[in-house]
Amino acid sequence: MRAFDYAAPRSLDETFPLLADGRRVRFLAGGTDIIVQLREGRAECDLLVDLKRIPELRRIEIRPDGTLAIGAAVPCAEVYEHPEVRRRWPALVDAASLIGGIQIQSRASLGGNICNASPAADSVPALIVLGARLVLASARGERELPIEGFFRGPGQTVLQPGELLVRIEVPPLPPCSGARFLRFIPRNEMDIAVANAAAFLRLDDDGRIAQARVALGAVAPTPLLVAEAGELLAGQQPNDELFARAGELAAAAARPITDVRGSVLQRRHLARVLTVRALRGALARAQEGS
Amino acid sequence: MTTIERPRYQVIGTRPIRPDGVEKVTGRALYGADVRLPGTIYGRVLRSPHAHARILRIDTSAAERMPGVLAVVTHRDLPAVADGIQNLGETAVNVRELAANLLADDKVLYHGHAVAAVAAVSPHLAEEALGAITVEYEVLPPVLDVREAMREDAPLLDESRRTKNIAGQVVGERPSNIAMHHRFEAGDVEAAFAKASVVIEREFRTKMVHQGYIEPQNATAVWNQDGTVTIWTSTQGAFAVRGQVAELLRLPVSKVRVVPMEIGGGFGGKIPVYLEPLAALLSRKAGGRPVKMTMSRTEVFQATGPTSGTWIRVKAGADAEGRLLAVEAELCYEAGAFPGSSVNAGAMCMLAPYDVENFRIDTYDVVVNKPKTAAYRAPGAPAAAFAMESVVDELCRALKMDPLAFRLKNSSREGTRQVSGVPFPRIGHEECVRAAMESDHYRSPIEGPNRGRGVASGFWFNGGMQSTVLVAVNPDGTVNLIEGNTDIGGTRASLAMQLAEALGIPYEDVKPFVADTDSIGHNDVTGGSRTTFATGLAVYEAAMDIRRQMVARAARILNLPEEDLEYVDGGVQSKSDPSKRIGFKEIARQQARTGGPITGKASLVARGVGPAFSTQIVDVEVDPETGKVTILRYTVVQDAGRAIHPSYVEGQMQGGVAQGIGWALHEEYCYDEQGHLLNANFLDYRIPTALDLPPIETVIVEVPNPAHPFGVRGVGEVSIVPPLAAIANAIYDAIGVRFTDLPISPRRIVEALYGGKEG
Amino acid sequence: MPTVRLPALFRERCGGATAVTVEGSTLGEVLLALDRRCPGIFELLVEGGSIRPELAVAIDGETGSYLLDEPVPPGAEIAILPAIAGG
Ligand SMILES: Cc1cc2nc3c(=O)[nH]c(=O)nc-3n(C[C@H](O)[C@H](O)[C@H](O)COP(=O)(O)OP(=O)(O)OC[C@H]3O[C@@H](n4cnc5c(N)ncnc54)[C@H](O)[C@@H]3O)c2cc1C
Repeated sequence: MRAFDYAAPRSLDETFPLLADGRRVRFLAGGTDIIVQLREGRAECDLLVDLKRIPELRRIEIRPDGTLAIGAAVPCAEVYEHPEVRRRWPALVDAASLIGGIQIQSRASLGGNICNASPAADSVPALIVLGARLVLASARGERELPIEGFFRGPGQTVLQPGELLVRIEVPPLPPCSGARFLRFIPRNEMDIAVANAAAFLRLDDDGRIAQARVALGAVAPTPLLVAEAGELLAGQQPNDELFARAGELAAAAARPITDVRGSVLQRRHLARVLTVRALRGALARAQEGS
Repeated sequence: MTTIERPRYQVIGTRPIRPDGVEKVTGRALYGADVRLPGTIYGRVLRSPHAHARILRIDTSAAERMPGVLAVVTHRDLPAVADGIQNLGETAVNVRELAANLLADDKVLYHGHAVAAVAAVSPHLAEEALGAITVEYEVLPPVLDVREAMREDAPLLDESRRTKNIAGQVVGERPSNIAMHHRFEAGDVEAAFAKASVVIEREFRTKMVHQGYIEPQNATAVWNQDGTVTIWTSTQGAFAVRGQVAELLRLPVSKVRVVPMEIGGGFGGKIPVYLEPLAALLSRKAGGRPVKMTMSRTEVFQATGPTSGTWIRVKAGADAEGRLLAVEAELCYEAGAFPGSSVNAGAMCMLAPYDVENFRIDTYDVVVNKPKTAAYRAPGAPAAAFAMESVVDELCRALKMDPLAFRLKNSSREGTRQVSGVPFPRIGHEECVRAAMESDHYRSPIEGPNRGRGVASGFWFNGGMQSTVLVAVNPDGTVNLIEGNTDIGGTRASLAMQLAEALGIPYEDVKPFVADTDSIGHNDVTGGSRTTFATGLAVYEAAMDIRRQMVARAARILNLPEEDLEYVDGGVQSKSDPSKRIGFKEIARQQARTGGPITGKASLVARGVGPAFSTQIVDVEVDPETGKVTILRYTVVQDAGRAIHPSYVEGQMQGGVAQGIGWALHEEYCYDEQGHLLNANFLDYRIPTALDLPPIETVIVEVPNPAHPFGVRGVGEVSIVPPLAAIANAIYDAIGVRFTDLPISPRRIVEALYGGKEG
Repeated sequence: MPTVRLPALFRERCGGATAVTVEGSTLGEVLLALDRRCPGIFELLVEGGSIRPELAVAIDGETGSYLLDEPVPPGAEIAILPAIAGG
């Protein structure tokens, strides 16, 4: 590990000047990715900026319009322990409560999970199907984009120098809808997803699927929104056969690699299996809600 | 369950709190990491990024010039040592190869092979200094797989290596990676196969796996101004460390003092030295400053342990009545970068549960560009049992015979010749199989789709070797038990209990203490399941020594002739008039007046080792969509001879099973084609977590070892032998797919069920 | 007289015999007597006056590291096997 400077600004206004002098900057939210990477020499920086002292990055807020706004440095445990989050966005709880164990969850943030940009990040498929938007800020101001547009490749995002993620905004779930996130790991804990998947379904009055979104992780260089699956499902009566076809589309959309955590065949196969299971889970939640 | 009636013991068979328990659960126990000496500096190791390369040049001058860097060592700093086998009790090592493993000589032979070591005033500085060392390599093609390495055109790790026989004589003409070939043979295998009505032949592969102890290797060393060296370290054998360090540094053993700290797991992996000699050399170069070294988890995986990857072919035949007629096998074990796998032990274990007259087993010890293997719990046996017990399962299916009935019918027993030709003493395999058949588990049906049951048996020799103990009686009637075996699995308790039983005093009155190498006679390692047995024998003899002295002291106090006195139930009494009696505590209190301190001792080479068997039953459920295997129920039956402390015996039984489950389902060293170890961390090298293991039910069988006063056999190792096959057999039962390669990971199951090839 | 059981790959030195019965009341005497029947075998097993460290000897089932003057009971069975290590 190389020596680096450390700063812990107390506001975004204090933060931006730190990012402007050309030093290689990394952020520290929960530190559960970055500290490991720095120690192992997989990441290097001149300045580590601790975000935990910036109040607006540590807030969870539900706006009057029902939008959930999660500060980028809020730890997972605060997300899944939030009673309204538990009630209204259970798919987010699926994901936040799977990231690491209790120690990790007490520090690890969704912002860090997203910005670390691992293809296997567990919060991302859930946030994709929930229609989450990211709010990025720099000295020049804020901009906003759908989460699926944030990733450029493993460890690579659209963040510009001097820019950081400040908030994740999740719209309210419409009536008669539900979402589910699932992952596959070889053990029952402490593993990185070999593949993961999330599904969202909104039903119309007849119980038909009005809208669907399917997202996958760990099967491509970035998390994937499988638009084809959503298109196939929309307007259809939900059933096993339909879900199986959606699973096929998900498998076809996957562009996995073989590495120590899984093979191409296994990941493509799991994309199908997890998509079907996530769809079933989303349907059950949508039907509960209606 | 007990197969032979148990004498009435006061202490043996009870479950008291371990003497080291409070210190350990309150965090007070001192481990290697807790060693903090004034002026300590920190050592780090530069490791090879290549699996196989010639070292053309090492330039350490820039690192040496860095302020705060106090010492740099390379292979040149090791005294030249010639080829020679040193017997470390449990392990015989070739000192030249040990030296070349410690710091690479002209070649690096695996990814992570140590090339240089640095000591600096801070660990960060030491690490930075590693970056300032230049090493020029000529990268060579690596050979990573045992079968590849055996080919005539394989890249050679050592051009001068020729295949040898077990006596160390060259038998091969050409240079080869096959370091040793041996054969175990008896009877007429071909004729027996001709009579068989079922013959099964299969090939099996297992990957290198690591012991996975939680505490990484560590050592602190001081090269004192008087030329002596003191080492504090985490080891299974302080005397083994002393012996190795003395050989490597060409010092008399008397100049090396090794202080064993508490140990956070070893499983065989903490017998060889890795850091101790480096810390000592760095300390000498740094003017005698204490040098502390601790491996990272990555280093532990890259450069310590593991056990062999293997290729095994087994052919076995049985007649229509289910008699095992003949077995033919080939065992090829990866030794790692230097010779010395446990292949012969594997061969000697695989047929041990059976009485089979005709066999031929060829063994090959093969070097590959991977870390030098170390002992791992019943070294060599699990892979061989995986192969044999899987084939037996197939034989049973072909014969439509209950797999435990088959094992009972063919079981070895007292007098059965092992493949080495040595007849078994009293053993308990039949009793284990019977206990398994009678267990609630085996009598309960297994039902439901994708669920299955498997069984397997396993064997381990257990060890004897050298032990010394000292016993000192305190004036308050307690006793100090001074021993030289580091306590890995509860041996303070099991030895204290034997002493309490033999003296007839309360367990709480025995205070065990693990001494350093200057404070007690030689003790071989805590390994080979030997300590409770062998050091227990020494404890028993030392207790008899104390008892004799107690009788003599009592004679003076009671004013009776010694011949009239006997030691009974923690006191001495008159044979003619048992009302004339004096208790242990009273004699202890008066020792100053009756002749001074009462101390007993015993030193011995333990004979009469009692071998161990285990039979295991496992139920699994396979998720056919994801390939995930859930262990529904697990029962381990094991012959303990006599369970001194049943909880710790059960702990050993469960611990071996837990490691076996990991080996069967998840654990493997993953390499890329260049020989880089890809999963040198606990994230991607998956040992089971608490959530991956069911409660493991234990059935202790007690067939006492006639050569031990309490009947003790070793219990530490055999439980890891059956799980690999038991689980593979259960998975076959569940989904009808026979896995012959380990681990049977979700990936392998999915690939087997859905195509096998990567699409 | 003691009987020595031979490892498979040493048997060719003894005309293929799996076991040979010879005179001797110590391990060393037995091995020298064996050497007269199977020339060269002593040197194979003994180095510098001791059994080679790679090998183990079992006398009547008791495996150990013996000196050559270890007494061998009449009718004893001696086996030669590879030394093994535990974990
Ligand atoms: C034992 C263990 C288990 C784990 N298990 C899982 C798991 O099951 N699933 C999973 O997905 N992950 C897992 N992880 C990875 C990690 O915990 C998660 O990715 C976590 O969410 C990261 O959040 P953090 O707050 O700790 O990020 P940090 O480590 O603080 O930061 C991660 C990266 O994001 C950048 N960053 C952080 N915040 C911002 C911001 N606001 N703007 C711009 N960039 C930012 C940092 O510069 C850094 O590069 C595990 C890690 C460990 C150590």
